[in-house]
Amino acid sequence: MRVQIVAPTARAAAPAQTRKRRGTWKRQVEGYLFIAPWLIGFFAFTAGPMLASLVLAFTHYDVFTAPRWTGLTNVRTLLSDHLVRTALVNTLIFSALSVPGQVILALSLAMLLNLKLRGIGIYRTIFYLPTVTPAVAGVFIWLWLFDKDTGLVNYGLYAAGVNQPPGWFTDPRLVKLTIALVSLWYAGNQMIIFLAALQGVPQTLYEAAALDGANKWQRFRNVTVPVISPAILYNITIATINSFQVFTIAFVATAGGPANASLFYVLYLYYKGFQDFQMGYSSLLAWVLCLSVLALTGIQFLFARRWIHYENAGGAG
Amino acid sequence: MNRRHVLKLSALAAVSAVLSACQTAAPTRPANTAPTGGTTPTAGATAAVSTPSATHAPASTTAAASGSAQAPATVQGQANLEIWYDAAAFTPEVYNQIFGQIESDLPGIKLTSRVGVPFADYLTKLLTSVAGGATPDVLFVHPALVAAMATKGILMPLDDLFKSSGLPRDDYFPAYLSYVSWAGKLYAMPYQPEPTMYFYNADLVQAAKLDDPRKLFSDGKWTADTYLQYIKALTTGSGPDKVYGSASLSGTLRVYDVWVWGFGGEIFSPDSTQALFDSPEAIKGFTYLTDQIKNGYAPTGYSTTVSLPQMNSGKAVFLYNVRAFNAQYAKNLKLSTVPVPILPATGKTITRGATNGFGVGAKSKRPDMAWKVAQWWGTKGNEILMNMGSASPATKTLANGPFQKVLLPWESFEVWQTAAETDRVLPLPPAFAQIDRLVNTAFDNIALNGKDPAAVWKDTVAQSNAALKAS
Repeated sequence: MRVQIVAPTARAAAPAQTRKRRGTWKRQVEGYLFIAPWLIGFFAFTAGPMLASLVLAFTHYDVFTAPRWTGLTNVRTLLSDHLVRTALVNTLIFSALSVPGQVILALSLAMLLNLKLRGIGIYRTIFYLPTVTPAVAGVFIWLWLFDKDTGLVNYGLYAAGVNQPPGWFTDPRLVKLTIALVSLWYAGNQMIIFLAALQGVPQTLYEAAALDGANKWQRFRNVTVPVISPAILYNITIATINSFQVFTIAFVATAGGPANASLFYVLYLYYKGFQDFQMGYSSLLAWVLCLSVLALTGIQFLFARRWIHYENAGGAG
Repeated sequence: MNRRHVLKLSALAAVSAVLSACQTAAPTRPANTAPTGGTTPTAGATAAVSTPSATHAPASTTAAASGSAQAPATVQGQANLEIWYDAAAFTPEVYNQIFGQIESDLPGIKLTSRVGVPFADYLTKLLTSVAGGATPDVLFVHPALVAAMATKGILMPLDDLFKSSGLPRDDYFPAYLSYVSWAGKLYAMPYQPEPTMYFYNADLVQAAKLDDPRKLFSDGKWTADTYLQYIKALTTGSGPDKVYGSASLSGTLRVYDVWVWGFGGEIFSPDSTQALFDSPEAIKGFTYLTDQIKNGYAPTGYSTTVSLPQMNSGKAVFLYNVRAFNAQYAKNLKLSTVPVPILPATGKTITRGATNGFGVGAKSKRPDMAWKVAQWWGTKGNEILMNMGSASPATKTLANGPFQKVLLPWESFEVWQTAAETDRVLPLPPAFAQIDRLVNTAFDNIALNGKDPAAVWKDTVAQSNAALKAS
């Protein structure tokens, strides 16, 4: 028989540790129970469907009949589907037009709304209102404004001497630009983030720069931009992700036309899934989009290291 | 309440949530919580529902309606039915009145679950619901969805029920029953049929010193060439003063088909398994339309939100449309109607229509009662909507009777009748949505990008055939 000799201090510490472990475990259980509603929602309505769509991506599934495993058939279809290329190119062009436009407009508006004026709260509310306007209603208004023959925009252009004003939504060469212009209408959220960031810029930095003889542009370039650079990165990232998911404007205003010039990736994904009932193929398209956006966001973060400035990091880089 | 209690309650709530989520979906949903959206094409649809008077109702319809009011002897107890409808077609108030009328006319039937879905989302939500095990008893059927709903086993064929009900099949305009049929079987009762015709601004035609198109039609001189000459002559001005001879052309093969047929082409093979619209004749039909845009007689882009304002602002003279939009024209417009011109290959006018119906769910537990509701829609419902100005009559008896009293002063019964009798149906295969997108792209590529029609249509037909084969 082996006798285990245990030091008295260790013997005394063991129950205490057990009690501590039990207490920690109990607290963890309590924590999980408190977040259980969210966890259940996340697994049931987000993670679960995402995983299911990953499996569905390799099946033929028309919603009504059971999915049928088809291996890499959907991948081969995707590689030969010229409309996927069209949709991707359209989306990239839209992204290139709308992201800089939205970020620049939101920053400009935020700077204006950061001025200390009487009734500035009213202006802030007014400029944010489009963001809470129902998207479909907004699109109809823009359809009327940009109508080739009866729209206010072309009336203005004609009055300004343009004899042949363009068909904003009906000209295949212009429609992406028009949709990018309409997307600027929804820059309110980015504007709020910039406004918050601008209000966090220490006044002492501006005073120091002024003492060093910096003019307004130099103060903006060398003080404002570096300090709000995390907000700029955030807004660029979110705007890029949103631009890859552009749907409502094209769905309501053009249905992807004319001549597929506004057939964006998510619109095509929707058509394949919910009009043609090719849910398996549509799931694959969704995963390709997800991975593409993930990669693009990763690249953005990689390059951001060169110009982003975090206060706590003690300087750029 | 201490922390222990809170934790217990939280756990209980979480378990309850999981259990309720795992249950079979409850079938009942109140009508007013149904999703709404889109446009309401029938402004008259906001009017109160009035029951057609017995004196005005034709004998056959009255018989059908009153027959449907009596529960068959085999039916016992109350039937609680689920109905799915197009929420965008009428206001919730109109639907509630109609549903109230159904329950009043059909004792023993309660529409306990009323699910309104805007048309744009209809098939998606319906298929998802059916896939999830919740099958409606009575459901809205659009002609573009008949094939998809029938081939997926959602709808029950109604031919036997129709026959045994004693409804006079010959009294229905043949096209209206065909629109809600697939592969020779009837899948719905037509309640909102609409033949399409040309609506035109009579003041602008008169101002251009042109003969009245309706008179030309009566004289047999309203031809496809004449129509082109008219829209050319009526296209005037530039910039804000520009007036187009034609409003925007509709963006669907369901409308282009008339001109393809009219120039001697075909859209699909008789069994709908092959696309045939790249023949020289079909291309002539498409070219007739695309040239209107190329020559500047019609603006590009189509939706009723665009074409109706074009008419109302006097910027377009002719619009190919249906009566359901009558209430949306500006009151100061002097409108008139004329059928589609005499087309070269047919030597006569033909047109197309849009006929909505109500069908019976294939998995309905009370198909006998569900049929009564569908039958109500195809008889009394059609008459109620006709009196509201929201539908044309489905039967010849209704057309020759009460319909003529609800026509607006500028409408012509003869024009409507010509359209109703020359309505040609394009059976729409299950892959139609995909084919329609291909056709619209082709149309735009020719009209806007100047591409070669023969090459474009050949390519489009090849892609359409691939879609047909895959479906």
